[in-house]
Amino acid sequence: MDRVKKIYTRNEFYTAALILVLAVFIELRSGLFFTSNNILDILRGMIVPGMLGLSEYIVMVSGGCDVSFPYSAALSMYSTIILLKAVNFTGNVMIAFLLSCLFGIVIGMVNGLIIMRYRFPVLIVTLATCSICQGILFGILNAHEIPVIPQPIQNLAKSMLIRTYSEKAQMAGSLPLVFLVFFILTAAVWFLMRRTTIGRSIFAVGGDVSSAERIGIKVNFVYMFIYGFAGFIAGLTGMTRVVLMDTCHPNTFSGMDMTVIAAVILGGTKVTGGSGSITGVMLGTMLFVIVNNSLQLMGIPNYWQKFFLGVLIVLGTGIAAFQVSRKRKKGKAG
Amino acid sequence: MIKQFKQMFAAGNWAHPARDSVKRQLLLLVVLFAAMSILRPSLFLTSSNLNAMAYQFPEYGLIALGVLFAMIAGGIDLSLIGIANLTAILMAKLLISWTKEEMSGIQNAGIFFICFLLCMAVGAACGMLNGCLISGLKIPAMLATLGSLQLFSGIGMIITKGKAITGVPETYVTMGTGKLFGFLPVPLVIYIGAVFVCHYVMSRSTFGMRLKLMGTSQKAALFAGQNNKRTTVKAHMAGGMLASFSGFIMLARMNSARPDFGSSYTMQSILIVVLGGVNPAGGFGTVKGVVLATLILQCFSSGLNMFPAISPYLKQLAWGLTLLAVMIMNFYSRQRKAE
Repeated sequence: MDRVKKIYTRNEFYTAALILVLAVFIELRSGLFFTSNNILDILRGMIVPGMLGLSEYIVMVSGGCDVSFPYSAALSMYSTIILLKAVNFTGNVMIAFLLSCLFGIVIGMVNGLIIMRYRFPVLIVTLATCSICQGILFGILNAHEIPVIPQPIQNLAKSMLIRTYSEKAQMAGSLPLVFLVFFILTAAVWFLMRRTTIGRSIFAVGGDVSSAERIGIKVNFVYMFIYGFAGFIAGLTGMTRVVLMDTCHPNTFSGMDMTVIAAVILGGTKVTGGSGSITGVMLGTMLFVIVNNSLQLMGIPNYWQKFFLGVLIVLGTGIAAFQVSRKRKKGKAG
Repeated sequence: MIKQFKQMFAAGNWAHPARDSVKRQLLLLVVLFAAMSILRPSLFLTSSNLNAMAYQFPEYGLIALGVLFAMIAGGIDLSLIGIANLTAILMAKLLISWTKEEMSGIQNAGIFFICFLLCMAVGAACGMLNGCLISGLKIPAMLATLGSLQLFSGIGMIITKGKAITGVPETYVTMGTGKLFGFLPVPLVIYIGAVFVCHYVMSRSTFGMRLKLMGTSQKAALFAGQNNKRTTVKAHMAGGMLASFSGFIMLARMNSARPDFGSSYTMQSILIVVLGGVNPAGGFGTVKGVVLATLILQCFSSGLNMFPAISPYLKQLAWGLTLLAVMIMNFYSRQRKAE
């Protein structure tokens, strides 16, 4: 009985419940939710926010809040594409991914160096980095949409993992091969955070930096690792986005910072750091993708989206904060 | 009142070590102004340019003052531009539906005044929501205000259905963009008034003192018997009201209200406040510093506009680099002071 009780206190449970409620609601209204093509659509929609969510999850567990990942991903992706186009690249598509990740790591290291050395608030540093990335992207590189991307990437864009056809909806569905990238990354991040020392160190730093220092954790190294890795994921996501959309648009990530942060918070990651789970991040991302999809399905106009986003952020953080205060009261009474 | 005004500029006050940063900023402002004047005398030193500048900086200057209050309290406020846009939209809607062409001057003034009060109340209410989220639900300031930014922008978008609201009465526009005594632009007058009120509140009122104490150490303030919750809520309400004034000015200048205007003002206001010597961790900062930083940014911005070869995106690059550079400089100067 204790185990069941424990589940109720976790934030992820409520997010999962909300997803279930939404799914049933949409199924009752349109009958098209549990079709194979819709489920594949949701999975495909989760790829990019999910990957960015993993990056944000790592940063948030360490106690910070990164807002630079949209334009850091855009910059890595754009630089890679123009570089590959300039040399008329026809080699292995893995090299494209590698290059993009490298660019991402470099940008992430900039964040990491500043935060490690000066311990400024992460939000402000990443706001500055975001501006710098935007400035480089549009000011120096004069970025614009590149419709024709190198051939190897185009080939990957057309490869599918699963193809289905749904009788109910009379529509074909498919899941691109790059979904594997998302899947492997999720597994890797889970392993990193739950089974390695560096993962435990990230949780410790998020709990309390000075305590972590005192028990011997090299906090500087942890910070460098976190932001370097976050940059790596950003670069990976940039290239994945290019593959998914079969084109390169520098503004493709704009505005995504809020949705990803909201998804991670709704997934139960504490904003002050120190706790959070991958399951939660995935559930939160799924919730957002479903809400976005279904808002359109139900005919709610586009301009309500921001409002819902705000409500969800406030609700998510509010519930989390409320749970914390409840636990504190329980601790005092008991 | 006059005595306090004179005291602000008295020689003794400048010798205080905390004034060093203000001296530095004043120097930077003078240098920047001189540089721009020398490089582009025909464009920069003209009365039309100075005029244009005097119309532009009150908008984000007021928002920067709002961020100042929130930052000294130890938090941050990212939602002020959302509040400004929302109040501009509400003001536009109210004015359009309540004024008619045939109304006399007095009636118009009366209706304007009522609309002002209502929209200021809305701004204060939005600020109160921020304050309650931060102090009551204990949501960290940056996330609470990120969320409320989406909320307020979202409400604005729902009211306008994503489009801009135009058609504000002529009298409002001429009032908002006109000049008092023939040479002082109304936005500038509003800004100067706000600066004086904020300076008074910060340095002479109990609330200002409580704010600084709370920003320095929440626990200490709590143990000293202060009501931290009330102080936080008041600080964000002040920010909300300042933002609503910014909204009024924006509405008058653009003769329209949009839900997504000024998205770069968020970053700019943080840059201004950090440039103005405010410690992001809270507790330290002056209105003087923020005003000087606003002027510096305006000079820089207008100056950059006069070099058409420099794309506006490079301005963003410059802001980001400047923010980092200033924070690092402040870090080292604080270290030196501590030794």
